[in-house]
Amino acid sequence: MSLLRRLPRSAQLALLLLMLLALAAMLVPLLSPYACDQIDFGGVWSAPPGLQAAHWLGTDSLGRDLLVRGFCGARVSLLVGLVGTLVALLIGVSYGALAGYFAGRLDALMMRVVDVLYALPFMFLVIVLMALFGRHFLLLFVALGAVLWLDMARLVRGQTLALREREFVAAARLAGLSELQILRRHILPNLAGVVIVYATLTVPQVILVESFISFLGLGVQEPLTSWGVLINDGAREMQSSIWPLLIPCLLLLLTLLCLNLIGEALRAALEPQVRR
Amino acid sequence: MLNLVLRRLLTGIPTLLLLLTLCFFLMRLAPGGPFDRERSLPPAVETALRAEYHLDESLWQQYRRYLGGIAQGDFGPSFQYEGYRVQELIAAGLPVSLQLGGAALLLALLAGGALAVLAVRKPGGPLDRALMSLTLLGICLPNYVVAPLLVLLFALTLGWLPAGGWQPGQWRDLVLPVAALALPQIAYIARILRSSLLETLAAPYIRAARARGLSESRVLLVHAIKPALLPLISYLGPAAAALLTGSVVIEQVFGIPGLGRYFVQAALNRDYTLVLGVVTLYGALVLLCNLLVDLAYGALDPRQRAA
Amino acid sequence: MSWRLAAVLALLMLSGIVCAASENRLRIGNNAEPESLDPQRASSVSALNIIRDLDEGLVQLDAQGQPQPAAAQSWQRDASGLVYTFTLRPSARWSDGSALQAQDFVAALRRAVDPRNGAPFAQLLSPIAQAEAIMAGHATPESLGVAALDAQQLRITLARPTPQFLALLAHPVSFPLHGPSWQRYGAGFARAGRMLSNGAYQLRDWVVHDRIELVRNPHYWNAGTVRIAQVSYYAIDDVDAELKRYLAGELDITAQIPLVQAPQLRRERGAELRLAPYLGTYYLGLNVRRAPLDDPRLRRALSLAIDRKLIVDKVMNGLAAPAASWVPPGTADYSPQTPDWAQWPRAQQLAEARRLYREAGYTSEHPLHIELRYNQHDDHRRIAIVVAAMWKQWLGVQTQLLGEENKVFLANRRAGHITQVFRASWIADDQDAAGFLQVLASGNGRNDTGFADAAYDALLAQAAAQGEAPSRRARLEEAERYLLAQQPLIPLYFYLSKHLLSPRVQNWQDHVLDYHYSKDLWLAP
Repeated sequence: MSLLRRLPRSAQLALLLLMLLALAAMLVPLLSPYACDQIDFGGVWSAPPGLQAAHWLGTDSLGRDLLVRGFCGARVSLLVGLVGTLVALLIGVSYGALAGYFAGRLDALMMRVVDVLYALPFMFLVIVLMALFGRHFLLLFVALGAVLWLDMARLVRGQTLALREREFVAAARLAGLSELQILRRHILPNLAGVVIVYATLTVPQVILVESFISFLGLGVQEPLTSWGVLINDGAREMQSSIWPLLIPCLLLLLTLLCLNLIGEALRAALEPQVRR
Repeated sequence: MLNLVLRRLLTGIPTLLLLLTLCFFLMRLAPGGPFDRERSLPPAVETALRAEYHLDESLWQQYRRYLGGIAQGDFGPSFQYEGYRVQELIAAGLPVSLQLGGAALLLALLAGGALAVLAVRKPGGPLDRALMSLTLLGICLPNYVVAPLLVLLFALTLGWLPAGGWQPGQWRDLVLPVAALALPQIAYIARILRSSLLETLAAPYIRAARARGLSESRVLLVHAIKPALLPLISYLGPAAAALLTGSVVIEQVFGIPGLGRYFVQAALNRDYTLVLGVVTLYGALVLLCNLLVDLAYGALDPRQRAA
Repeated sequence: MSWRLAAVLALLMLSGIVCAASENRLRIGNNAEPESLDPQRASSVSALNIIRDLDEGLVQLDAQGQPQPAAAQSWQRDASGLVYTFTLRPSARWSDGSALQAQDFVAALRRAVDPRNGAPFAQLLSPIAQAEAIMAGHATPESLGVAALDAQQLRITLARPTPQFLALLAHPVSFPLHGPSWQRYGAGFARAGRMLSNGAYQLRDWVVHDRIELVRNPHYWNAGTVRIAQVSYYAIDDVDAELKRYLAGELDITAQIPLVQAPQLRRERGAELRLAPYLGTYYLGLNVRRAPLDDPRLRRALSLAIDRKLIVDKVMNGLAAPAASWVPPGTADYSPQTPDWAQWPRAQQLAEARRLYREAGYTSEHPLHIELRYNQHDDHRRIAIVVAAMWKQWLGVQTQLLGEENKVFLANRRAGHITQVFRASWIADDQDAAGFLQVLASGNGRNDTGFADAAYDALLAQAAAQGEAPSRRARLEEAERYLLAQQPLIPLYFYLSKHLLSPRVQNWQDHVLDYHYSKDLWLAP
């Protein structure tokens, strides 16, 4: 909590906005008279926004409510961002910390694996995974996380390599703590700052990557939708109607802006600690 | 130094081999084959085609045949583009991608660097905030939105530049794709450089330099920039490899015959040999870029050189 | 200084634009990159388009689909109707000046039917004597009923009387083969710098993923009438990118039109929009081998619940024609078989759909749960979404949409183990209605519905036995009526050929197979 209070006003505001957005993502589709995938057969398709109209933000070219779809997309995109980042964190931190802490031959071997995976074109991996496992919703997160952990692993390894030379690690070793205990009690907590900051940068990355996968038509499965799918659909019809593109773009921009403000503020708040 | 380069190049070979093997078998796990078409082939024809491309052999035999080919510099026939060898396709696409990606990289470095230097003049000031918000826009707008927008504006509305196409030596064909390709990179580079510049500017030796009465631009461009480049360089390694091998979106929107489309289309079409060809190329480029990054690190950071 | 620079730049740009528009070069958007320009090996529409400009068969099709003399100046049929004798033009040449000989056609046809050569369209040649045995591997290619009587005389013997046989000779699979090139380069002979062609154009340049350049073939027998000097086929598979390049004046003809842009284009470029009937049907296949779609009542209910007019108007934006039957209008010697319900008012269709749905055992408490598979493409996805919404709205069906990666989809559809409803389309190779009806014959490799019905097969066999007699038509029409009653598939729309055509392109004629020979076109100055 004290950390939260130390953040500048702008970051606190961003956090609030983000929470509001998440809340809206949960509530709007529940409260709206329209479902995410519902086609208004009687209504106007590609309708422009209007508060008097049946659809406040208008409809897309298949007669679906843009307001509801924007927030349905928010559900998936935010979830993708969170879960993808979590998976990346989990793999990346444990892998990087292990490699960095034990250093030497194990480190060399583990980093060779990272090198190989780094050299694998990301899109190729995604396509093969999609083809192999079908387009399962959860698998998409896992695939994304499984690809994005590499940077995290490198970062954490570098930090750990530096940390293990520090006095407190030597002291802990003298005190008879086992390697794993040292890793858990002394190394991991000291990584928190870097990791948190990096995580706030990974969330938008995952959201953007998901949108690229949607561009290839391999994103989330209908009737689910995401900002990536919406933006891609909107981009196709932008010459006839700009709203289907504008609405998800604005939501995405807002989210990224908030995440970024929070990330920067966290970095500023946490880094002196790490240095000390 | 030379020793390091040689050692890294040598260890690169088993890494690539590992990569190749991984992809070879991964690719074959994916359902569907190169001869599945919307209009399915008669069984006899398909059998003949499979035999022609040795798909009727065991996977292990195919793997050995493939490695044998590579040892002789042949990456095999493309499954999708009949009568073409993989190396011919890559040789045709690579120069285009290098040209495009190189130009975009250069533009991104110049523009991103300039933005970062402008922004750190007054950290937190209105210009800094405006620039950083702008870069955020650059990061979050996907290039499949930006590229068509550029075409709409500069090709269709203003009529200044072509909407697509690629004629060797035509600079006008380059402008829009390079801009679209560079835009997000400008944003990333500006942000990374800005934050590392800010960090270096807070260091004691910079304060000392300022105290000696050196001008602000001299402090910035001579003393601060060198250490501040380190995080940028580690970002640039993989980014450069990606840029130089082309972008599927940009190539699709602008109709450019580069390598980028092969990454996606070869995988989608199960063009096994072409996939492996571009993966190998990309892998080699990534390894090379990483080596360059490490060399640059050594040159810029005296501590690393000692170690 | 700077304004001078600006002026020079502006001049440069202008000169670029002016050059592009005034030269005698036709610029065609041609969809996906062609996989091959080898006449016997090519399979995609985009490849065949180019090959028809490069090479020439014995005959070519005019705008009405009638065979006209091409490489052959005349032909005779013997009394049995089974033996054709073609006389080649003495002036017919390959693009290196060497004479086109009857032997070149013999070589091509033998090559096509030899299974070792993997010719995707070999089956079109099955009317030729011995072709089926050769394709099955029971006979040698040399036994094919094709012989060169001398350099100019070619004799083709048929296994059975075949209507539309001459039209098959306008298909690239029967185009001549320059033997020495094939022997020298093997499968890679159809490339720039190697390929010889006998048509109006020759291959000059091939930049993969960009364009294929053709220039006039000076040795073409009718070279004097070819007015366009150069034809560039651009490989642009992104339909939005293609439109933008057309609108920027960089293309003269587009291969496609983005659906969502159609209303706007109709308003602003109505005169350039060329829509014409095209022999193709877009449909939902129903896997009748598995429950629940083994029940014809359910199949009919699903079909009746779909509002095709709405799909055509609002999803396809008028770029298609509603389809209630399987064989599209425009096939030769055949009348469209529209079922009764197509004329019913919508309310009656829905009432009947609900009745059948209930009869099949489904209610709002126990709705049908079904999977609809499509390959990931924007247009397929949009249609699947709307179809699912209609089924839900009017029958209460719970549809799970499964957009699959293309190859996964094709593999699943073909295997038929897990499919229920799947997207598919059929585009004709020729104007014969039997081509469509054969797709649903039991054992046909393209019959992904698994529909196997002895009565239907018998009708098709009877039709084939009629040869070219008028009674053939009645049998075929009866077969389609029977098929529609069984409903192993749900036709959604008939294709239209859709192009944007620059006003400078002259003499463009609509064609049901969408064949357009560049040699017949010219450009307004």
